[in-house]
Amino acid sequence: MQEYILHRLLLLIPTVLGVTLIVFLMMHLIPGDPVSLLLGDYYTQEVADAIRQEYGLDRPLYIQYGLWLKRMITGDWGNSIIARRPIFDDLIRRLPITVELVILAMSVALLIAIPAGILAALRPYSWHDYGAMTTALIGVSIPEFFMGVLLILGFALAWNVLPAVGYVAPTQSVVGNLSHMILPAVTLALPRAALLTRLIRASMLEVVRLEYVTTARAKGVRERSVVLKHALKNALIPTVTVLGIQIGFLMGGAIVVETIFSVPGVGSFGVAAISLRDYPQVQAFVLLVSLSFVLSNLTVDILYAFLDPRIRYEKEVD
Amino acid sequence: MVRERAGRESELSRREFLVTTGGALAGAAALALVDPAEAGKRRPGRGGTLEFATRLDAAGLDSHRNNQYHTSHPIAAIYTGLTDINQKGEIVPGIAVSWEPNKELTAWTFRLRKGVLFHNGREVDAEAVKLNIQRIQNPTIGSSWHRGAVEGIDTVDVLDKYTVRFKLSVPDASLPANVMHYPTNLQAPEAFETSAEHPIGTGPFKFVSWTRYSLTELVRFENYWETDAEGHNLPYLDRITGRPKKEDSVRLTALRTGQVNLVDNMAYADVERFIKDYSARFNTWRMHLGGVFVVFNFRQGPFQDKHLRTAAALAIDRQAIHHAVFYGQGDMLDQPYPKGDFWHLEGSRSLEYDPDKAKTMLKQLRAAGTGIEIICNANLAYNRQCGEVIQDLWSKLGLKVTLKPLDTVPLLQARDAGDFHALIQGNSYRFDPDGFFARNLHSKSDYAKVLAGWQNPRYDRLVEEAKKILDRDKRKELYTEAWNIVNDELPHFHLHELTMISAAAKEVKGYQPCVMGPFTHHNGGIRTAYIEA
Repeated sequence: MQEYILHRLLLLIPTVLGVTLIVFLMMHLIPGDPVSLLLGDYYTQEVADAIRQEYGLDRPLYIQYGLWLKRMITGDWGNSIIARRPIFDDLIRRLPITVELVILAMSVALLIAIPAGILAALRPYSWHDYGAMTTALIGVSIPEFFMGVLLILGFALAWNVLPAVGYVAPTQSVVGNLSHMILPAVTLALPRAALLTRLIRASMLEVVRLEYVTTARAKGVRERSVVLKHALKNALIPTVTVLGIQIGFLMGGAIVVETIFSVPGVGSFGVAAISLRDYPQVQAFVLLVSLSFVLSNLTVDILYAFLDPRIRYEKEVD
Repeated sequence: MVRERAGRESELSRREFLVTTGGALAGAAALALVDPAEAGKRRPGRGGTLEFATRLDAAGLDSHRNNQYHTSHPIAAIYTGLTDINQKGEIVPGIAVSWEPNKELTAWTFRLRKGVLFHNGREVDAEAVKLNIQRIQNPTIGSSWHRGAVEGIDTVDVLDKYTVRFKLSVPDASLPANVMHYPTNLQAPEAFETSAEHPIGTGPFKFVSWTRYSLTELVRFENYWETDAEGHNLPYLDRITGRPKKEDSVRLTALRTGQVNLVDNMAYADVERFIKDYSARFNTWRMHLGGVFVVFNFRQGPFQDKHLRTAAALAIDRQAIHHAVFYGQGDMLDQPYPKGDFWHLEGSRSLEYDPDKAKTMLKQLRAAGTGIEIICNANLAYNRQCGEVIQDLWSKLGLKVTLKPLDTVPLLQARDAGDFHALIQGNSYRFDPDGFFARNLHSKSDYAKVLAGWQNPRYDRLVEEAKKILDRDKRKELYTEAWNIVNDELPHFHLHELTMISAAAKEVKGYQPCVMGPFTHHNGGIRTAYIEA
């Protein structure tokens, strides 16, 4: 098991490096650089060259990338070219907010999907089943930006039970924090809940028909234990796999949701950086997102090994 | 007894009078030496927190590098400049109490108000002004917008502690407008290096914190120099919290639910219904922000032909744009300044919509099917939508039109390279007309070169002449003649006014924005606003 985890951790490095290299090259391929934006109508070659030299933008790409990598490793994430502020400070302040949003969204998605998926599987072709599937279809069909506005109009405007937008830190008020994060989290969660509901339903349908489940029932095991202890654990294996992939989509969705709800996370930070061609900021953002993606997949892989002992034993045997 | 008492009383009264008067005179003399900010007192019963939701937010905190837009960036409340604007948009004294030019308008001397402080307690003096101008003029620091405002300043001379003189490279009547807080805001020189993290200005509010597109926190500056008509210190508000929200519907919802009490930039589509349904709970203001116009490229492409430009201009239906893009908000414009503004040129003649004449001209030119490329800003809805309407109108005329909405940086590159036939361009309000007529169209202006690239010596002479005159009526005559040249040759064709509609809950008292949009202006805006308890 330890060997398995170490192997996966080592794979992290080339994966992250590969992602950052690709994005670095792409940023330099798209038209425009921050110097054009900074100088605007007063662009002269002399001044532009001086600014490029100051920011190291006049060097060959491979040197720029190498220098950036070296600074990252030593903890110097540099300054934003446009805002002239340390990138690390801004990111570190914003990252926990996005992480909180993603965790809440995933929790809400699972809270919806697991019971709905189980119920749909245990009562196939009933109104429980049709209801769950129809709701899942709606959830996956409505885009996040539209769903977000709908929820605001309903919960904030019409019923006035939740705040429309904004963010309160949990250190200021836990209740305030949760009340501000519910709507963004639900907006982000619904499409995922839809997908997971369908997946859990399909997995459960398959598992409950297996012989060991029939045997458990025949032995007189309580239905609750049959479903939750014997069937669900196996049914969750593919779900866990999909969860890891969904983390990536959640980070992408967080960009839209953070913009609508004015949540000060890394998503909105990254979008602004791209439109302003703020290279150091974009690279830092991409590094962070790719690390999150890779680490979440790693967590899923490890969880997978715990859920399915055959994976652990196979490795040990090897 | 009564008489004695009366006499004694009047004796006392005289003594009392002399003591009081003497004291008053001494006090008045002392006041002249005392910091004016300390002389007044805070007006009781007026305060509160303004929760201000805006569509935009600053890109950074250093006001010399990053635009601090005084209509939509709450952070702009921490700055003032040498001059100020009043509610009508007229230039009035700010940190400078007076200014005068030499006869040739090649030098301007500004006399500073004594006792004006930066937020860190340092007094604003001539040296501080000089350092600010020099910093803005540094091409590695000052943004193009900031540098453009002060590019005509050759040297800044400190004549004494409170007197500064600007020597200009060319005569310029517009300088007082260019040293107003937008864009020439003053920062404390010792805080230049940290201005990207903690800016220090001279405005009615001090910086507390800023998280881009999330939260701006400002607190009242207790030593701000400006007072109201009764002599009470401004501002009244205790705090301003800026809450930028890009989505128009979300911003409006936040206002209606009470999360914020002031919003800017209501979506045009929402205005009529909002005023009809909610005027009992909210106040609204319509302000002129600028305009939108078509630029015809003289550097390359089919619009180098005047007849084709004329046909294209005749085919533009401003009414269609007025309804489809602006939902009837604001006015159609055929020049930079709207009706009601002093600089609106009554005597100018512009082309009116005439599609039949346009088609006839196109037929005579045998130009049907000519390929036209329009570029516009993909990030600005009005800009993109104007492009779509014009694309449709020109296509109906018989031209083969492609519309390319571009992101900011590629747009600037395409524009600078002249890689377009027509460009949809917006402009913000210019407090002095030279900022428009010269900057946008004079052949020597760097900005004009990357727009139409048009050159007309007669136009240049008229605008140069206007820059050398202080008499506004005479200047207006010159600009009218110049604008008629523009209407004939069509480097630009103006379409519509850009308006901004802002709204505030009725609990926000004493607030009225400047008619050109700024939420901070002399003796008004957020300086005199307060929240009714």
